[in-house]
Amino acid sequence: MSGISNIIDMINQKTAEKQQEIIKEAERHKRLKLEEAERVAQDAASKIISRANAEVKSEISKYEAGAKLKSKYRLLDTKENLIKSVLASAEDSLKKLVGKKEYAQVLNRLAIEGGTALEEESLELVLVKGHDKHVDISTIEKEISKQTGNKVKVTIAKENIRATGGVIVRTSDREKWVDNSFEARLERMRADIRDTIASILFEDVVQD
Amino acid sequence: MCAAQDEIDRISEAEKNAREQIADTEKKAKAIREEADKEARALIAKAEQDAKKKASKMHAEVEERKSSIQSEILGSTDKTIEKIQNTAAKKQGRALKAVYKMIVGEA
Repeated sequence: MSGISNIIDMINQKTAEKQQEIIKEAERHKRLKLEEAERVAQDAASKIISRANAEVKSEISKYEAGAKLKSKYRLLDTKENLIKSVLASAEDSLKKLVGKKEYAQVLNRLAIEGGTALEEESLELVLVKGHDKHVDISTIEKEISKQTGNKVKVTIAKENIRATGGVIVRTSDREKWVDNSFEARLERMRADIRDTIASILFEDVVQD
Repeated sequence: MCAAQDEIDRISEAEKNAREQIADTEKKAKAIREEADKEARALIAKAEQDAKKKASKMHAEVEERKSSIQSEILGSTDKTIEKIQNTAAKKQGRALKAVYKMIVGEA
C-alpha cells in the first residue's frame, strides 16, 4: 500500500470515528432526554392524581359529614316529636282531669304543697273560676299546719286565675306565692319532664 | 511533479469527503436530538393527559360514591327511626303517666 493510500485510509478512519462519536453523543442525549422526560412525566402525573385524590377525599368526607349531620338532625327531630306528643297527651289528660272526681284530690294536694313551701300562717288560694267547689279548706289547713308546725288559716281569693287547673297559693299580704297551676308547673318542670320522657322512651335505643 | 499534485488532490478530495460526511452526520445527530426533544415533550404531554383523564374519572366517580353514602346513611337512619318509634310507642303510656304524676304532684 502506498503512503497516500495510508493517509486517505487514516482520514477515512478518523472520519468514521468522528461520525460514530457524533451519533453516540446524540443517542446519549436522546437517552438522557427521554429518561428525564419519563421522570418529569411521572412527577406531573403523580401530582395531578394526588391533587385529584385529595380533592375527592375532601369532597367525600365533607359529604359524609353532612349526611351524618342530617341523619343526626332527623333522629333528634324524631325524638323531639315523640316527646312533644307525650307532652300534648299529658296536657290533654290534665284538661280531662278537671272534669273528673280525682281533680279535687289533686287540687288539694297542690294547695297543701304550695302552702307548706310558703311557711306562713295566713294564706290565700287563687283558683280557676268555679274550681272552689273542689277545695277542702279544712283539710288543707290541717295538713299545712301539721307539716309546718304553725296554725295556718287558708281563705279563697276573690280573683281567679286563667289556667286549665291547679292553684296559686299566696300569703295574705301577697308578698310571696307559689304558682301551682298546671301550666306553671309544666313550665317550671319542663326540663325535668323532658328528661323523664326521654329516659323512658329512649332508654333502650342505641345512640348513633 | 504531476504525481505529487495528484496525491495532494486525492488527499484534498478525501478531506472534503470527510468534512461532508461529518456535516451529514451532524445533521443526523441534530435530527436525533430534535426527535428526542419532541418525543420527550410528547411523553410528558401524554402522561399529563392520561393523568388528567384519570383525575376526571375520579371526580366523576365522586357522585356515585356520594349516592352510595347517601343511601347507606339514609337506610341506617330510617331503620334507627323506625326502631325509636316502635320502642317509644310501647313506652308512651308509661311516659305519659310519669309526666302526669309530676304535674299533679304525685311524683
